[in-house]
Amino acid sequence: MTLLAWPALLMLLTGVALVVLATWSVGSRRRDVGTLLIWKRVAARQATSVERRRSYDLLLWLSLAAVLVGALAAARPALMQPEALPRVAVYIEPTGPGGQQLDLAEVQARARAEGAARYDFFMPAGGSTEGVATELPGGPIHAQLAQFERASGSYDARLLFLNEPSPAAADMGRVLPRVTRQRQGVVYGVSTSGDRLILRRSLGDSMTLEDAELLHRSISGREELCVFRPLAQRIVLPVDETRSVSLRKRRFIVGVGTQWRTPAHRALYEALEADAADGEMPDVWLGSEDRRPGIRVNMGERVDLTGAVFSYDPQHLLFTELRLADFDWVAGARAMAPDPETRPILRAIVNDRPVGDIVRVRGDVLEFAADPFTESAISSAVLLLDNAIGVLTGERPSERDRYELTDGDALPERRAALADVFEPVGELDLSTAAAAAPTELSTWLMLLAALAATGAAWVSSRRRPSGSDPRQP
Amino acid sequence: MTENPDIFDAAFLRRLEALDAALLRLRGSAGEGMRGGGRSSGQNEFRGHRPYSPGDDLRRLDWNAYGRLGKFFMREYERERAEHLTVLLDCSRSMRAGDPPKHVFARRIAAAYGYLVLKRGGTVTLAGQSPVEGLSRFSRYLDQLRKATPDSDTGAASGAGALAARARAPQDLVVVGDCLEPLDLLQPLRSMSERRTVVTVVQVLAPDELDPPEGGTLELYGLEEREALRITLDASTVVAYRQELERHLEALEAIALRHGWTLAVTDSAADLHSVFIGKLLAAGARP
Repeated sequence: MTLLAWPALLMLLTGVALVVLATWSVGSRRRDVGTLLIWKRVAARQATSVERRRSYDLLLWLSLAAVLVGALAAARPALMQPEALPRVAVYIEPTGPGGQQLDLAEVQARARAEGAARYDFFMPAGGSTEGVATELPGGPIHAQLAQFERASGSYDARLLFLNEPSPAAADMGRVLPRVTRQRQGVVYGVSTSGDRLILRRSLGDSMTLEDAELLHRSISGREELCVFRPLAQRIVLPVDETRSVSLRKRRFIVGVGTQWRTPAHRALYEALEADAADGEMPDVWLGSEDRRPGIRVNMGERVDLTGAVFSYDPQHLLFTELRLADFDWVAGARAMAPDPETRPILRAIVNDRPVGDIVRVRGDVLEFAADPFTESAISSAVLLLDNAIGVLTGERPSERDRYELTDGDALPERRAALADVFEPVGELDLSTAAAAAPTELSTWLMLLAALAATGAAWVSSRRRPSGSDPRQP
Repeated sequence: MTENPDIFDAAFLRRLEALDAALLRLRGSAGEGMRGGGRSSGQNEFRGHRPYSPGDDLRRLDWNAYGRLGKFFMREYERERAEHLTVLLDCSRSMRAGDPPKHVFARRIAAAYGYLVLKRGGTVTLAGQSPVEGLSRFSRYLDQLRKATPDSDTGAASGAGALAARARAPQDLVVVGDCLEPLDLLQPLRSMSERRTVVTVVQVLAPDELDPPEGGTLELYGLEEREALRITLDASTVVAYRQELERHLEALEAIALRHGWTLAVTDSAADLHSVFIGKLLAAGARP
């Protein structure tokens, strides 16, 4: 900014002229009049008209303000950063579940202790970042680092707090450990397999669970795998020192129809650890004539199946791990007449001619021409029922997880659970700072000058004489 | 505001003659006098003759008498014989104001009144001075006017008070001044009106008094009060001044209307024709 700019000088000269005019206006000169009779009345009237005097002064001041502010604007003043501090972008990797930061204030203090700079924080979405940090879209760690690198491109330096060292991060700036001490015994994975509960966690004290029996424990590096057998419908699982999650048993309910009342039938679904419906909505109906989804047996008519061969898709889910020879499909001599509204799974063919369907699907009902469940060995029958239910529900009961988390995504990421202290990598160079762009003020000053000029014009228009002339001689 | 020693110079006297001729043309030869319009009817009855004096209206020469006696006689009517005009001239210091000064034009108006009265055989008295009769003594009247310089502390109102204090009020009274004084000071004029004095007021104002120019902040020095008033003379102040002056003039006009005065307002830059023909005749007076 310099007032030596010629537009500014011109404006200042205008201001000087205005001041001279104003001075001339307020300076007193003598004028002789015959009598002060009328003038004294005018003066008395003006003394009570404060607004008029103020208006007169306002015009002068507004004009002067417009000129002076305009001169200032013509000098192109700019607001400079008094001391340009380097700007540092700080990435903080979450340590809690769902992107939460467990000890954010402490990490921010550690960042600021790195040196005198302006620190802006970046974190993945999910944590409480409002007003504290810039939110990144999130995702896997390499995706988060890429997002951070792009978002912090204009910064002078980067600082990253990570749960584990990362080669990609080392190229971006100084990498510091996210935690100040190794995290231990933090569960980051829970799964079930049949009636087994499998936990993955960082190595820590030996883990015990109430209402669950530890079956297996293995250690690989700092990771620990524990297999439990739950003994109760609900299991409380401590995630770390302060938090825990709950698991509950997933029940498999079957409805039993009139065709499924025999002890042999009952033994089958009990072998699958299914419970008969007791006022609850069944996952599948067995032997019901009208309920669905369901498995119905003895749906065929007597047909001579002598010399019949069978057409089927061995990859079909119904035949998974099943030996077809374990079943005597023609023993009941029953087959279902082909029906275009059904989809055959196992079809009997005699002399190259289909004589009927042995197994078929009608919507969400699996129809069997005979009852292969009681006419074969129980081990094979259980496997067939397991597959048949899998065809209807998409999940075989034998593969079904027996327990499920009730607290949703309440587990931290593996990196967060295994967070450890490591040697800082890289340097934080705070010696250079990008020159901050000066804030140009001319536009705003010109706007102010225009407002002042407009105000002066308005005041001037209000002061225009509007009274009538006295009578002329 | 400097005194002009030649305010009654030859050119002015010629303008008086021209004014007289113009008035005669307008009125015809009816022989009417110079009084205000209030009491003219029924009073122009023939009363007799008087010797001719230079400057008399030749249309009133009695040629029959000249044929019989060989001398010029002028026909004289009742009104003319009774014409006695008193002129009250405002000699206060406020009359110095204006360009041209108000007192110059005021004295010329007074002179014109005197000329017209004397021309018609009447008598004119400048208030505070001895009466003048006969056109041949017009120069004496002018001398009285020359001495009436604007040096007085008081306006026409004080002179009116002296006239009103007399036992016999003037028959016709012409007041020439600026009337820029509190109007209650005009009380003597009102009392004279009630005593059947015909009052004509010629108010002379300077052009700057009628329309003052803007001039920023000024020290206004009142010549009459001899004191100063600081005022910012911007457009709004000028408007306020005009409104106050208008109010003052309206009040004066109301008084004049109530008491039957003839009132004419003129500025000091006007000419006699416009005053006597354009204003006084228009206002109903018969100058």
